[in-house]
Amino acid sequence: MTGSLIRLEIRRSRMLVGWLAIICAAYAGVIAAMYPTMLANSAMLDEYMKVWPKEMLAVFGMEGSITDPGTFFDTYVGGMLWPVAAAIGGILLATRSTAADVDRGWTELSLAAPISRSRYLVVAIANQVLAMAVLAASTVAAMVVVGALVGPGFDAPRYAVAGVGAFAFGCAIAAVTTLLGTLTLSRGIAGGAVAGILLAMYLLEAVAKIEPNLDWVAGLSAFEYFDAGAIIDSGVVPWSDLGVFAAVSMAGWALAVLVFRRRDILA
Amino acid sequence: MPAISDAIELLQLTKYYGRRRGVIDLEVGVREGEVFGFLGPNGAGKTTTIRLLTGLIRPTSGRATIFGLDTWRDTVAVHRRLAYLGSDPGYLGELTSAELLDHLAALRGLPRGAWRGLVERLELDPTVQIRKLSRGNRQKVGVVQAFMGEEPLLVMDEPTTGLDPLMQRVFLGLVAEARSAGRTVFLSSHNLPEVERSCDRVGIIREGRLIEITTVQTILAGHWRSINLVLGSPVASGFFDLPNVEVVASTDRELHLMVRGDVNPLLGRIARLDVRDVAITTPDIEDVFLRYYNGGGGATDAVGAETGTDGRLPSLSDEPPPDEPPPGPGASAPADAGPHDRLPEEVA
Repeated sequence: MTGSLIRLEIRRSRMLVGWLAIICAAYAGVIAAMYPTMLANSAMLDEYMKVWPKEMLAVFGMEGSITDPGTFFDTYVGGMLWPVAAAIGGILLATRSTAADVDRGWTELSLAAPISRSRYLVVAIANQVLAMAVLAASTVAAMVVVGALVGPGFDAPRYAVAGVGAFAFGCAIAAVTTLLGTLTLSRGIAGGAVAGILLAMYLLEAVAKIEPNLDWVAGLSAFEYFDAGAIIDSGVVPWSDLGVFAAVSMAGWALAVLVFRRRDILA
Repeated sequence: MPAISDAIELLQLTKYYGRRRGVIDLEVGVREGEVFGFLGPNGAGKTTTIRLLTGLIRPTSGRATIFGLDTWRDTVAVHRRLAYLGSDPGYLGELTSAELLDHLAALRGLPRGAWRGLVERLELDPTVQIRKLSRGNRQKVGVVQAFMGEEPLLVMDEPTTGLDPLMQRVFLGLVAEARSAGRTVFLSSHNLPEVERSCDRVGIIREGRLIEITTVQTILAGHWRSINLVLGSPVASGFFDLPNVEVVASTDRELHLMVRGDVNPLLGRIARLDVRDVAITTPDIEDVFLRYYNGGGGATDAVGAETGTDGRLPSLSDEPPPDEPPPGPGASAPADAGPHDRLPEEVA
């Protein structure tokens, strides 16, 4: 029974996750392929970056030399590709099981079988976790593999830890979307709200970096807890940041299951 | 109160969606092995009732039980005992019928291919992706999935919508087989002939309230039928003077009669004539509702009192249907209508 649910969830997700993984890997691979060129011209790039206001560079995570592996990752992946890819994957997968399937009448049919609502949603959540793992792994693996092929490469263990941070960030997005999806049963509202929240968080992070007096608002932003550059450059596993994402994810999913168990399933 | 051994019991079942009415104080008992039809116009509360039965929504008050199990609290246990067909199931278009049916079979603990015999009976190609199927063929998928198990209760919401007459007949055969096997069937419908052929009793719901539970025979016995005759020669005036027959229109050799209740006396007279053609029209659901809402059916007074209106259904035409007879003596209280089979009194 559960096996059939899992197989169907994976089957329904494979196109979305597959294409996102390919896009992430292709983008990360191309970026990694550029890295030797950037290394060879690091002095010129550093001079070039001095032209730009420090605040603007901070907004894009370009603190330090862009040829530092950590700053490089943050600039092109952590602060750009990953939030977009994780948001697309998380929002589409999380609102599918909680809102879109209810709207189309599929949930009604599935839940008419002797399967609990909790189990039904937990399987969908497991699928989200798997999808985020695939996306994070494909992104980081592409960078590490291409980096090794074209030049000195990147520190694979440190990039792997950055990948774990990216995975945790993506899970938090999916969990909050799942909760909003179960509360609203609307793909548009839940997806739009999460996209808006992410954008607002990105702006908060930027404001905190630009205006020292408002640096406290950074704590309200998820981006504050996803500092892949620091992970890669320092080699320290950011347990507290991972803990924040884990807590948000677990709370979001647990609340979603609770809400889903108790609410009317009604298009 | 419904009897303890009923397959389905609705006890003062009420559902509001915020301030919007769903159903109010439903009291229904469906006996094991019975085929029970649930009739009502759009928005009457049929689908709400079925969603309450399947545990998809929580009652505002009252309760629904299936084989003694609360449909909201014991949902999984209830679902082991029922098969469900929704009015507009949202199948996954990317799957073939076979894949979808195997998935649903697995969720219900049925073996792979449990649907094969039914697919052949309903002439459904299981290898085609569902998104490529016509409306009728999608409905066949629903019928197959509903009947592929052996759950003791079948709950179906307008199950024959989109099916052609041939497939409707197959469906009725499946219902008959289910009844023979001792299974209980609860179905909502707009299709009176379907209900007439399949159901032992019907519940009629209007604006969220149960108007009456009765037998199909009782409904039809109190209702008119339209008979159009083409005769070989003109008939004498007064030939059809029978208490339950009215001549609505006549030309030289064509007659439009209306009859209600026992049709045998009329058929006896028709048999004496040189009949070239005959058409007997079954009253449609609208006729039945108009009767129940316009003074017939025995529950009208209560309905009028509840609604504070003249009891007519707003969504139905105020014009009588073409085959509706002119009001005549006794039209609001048919002399031949049987006693109403209202369940609470019956089983209390």
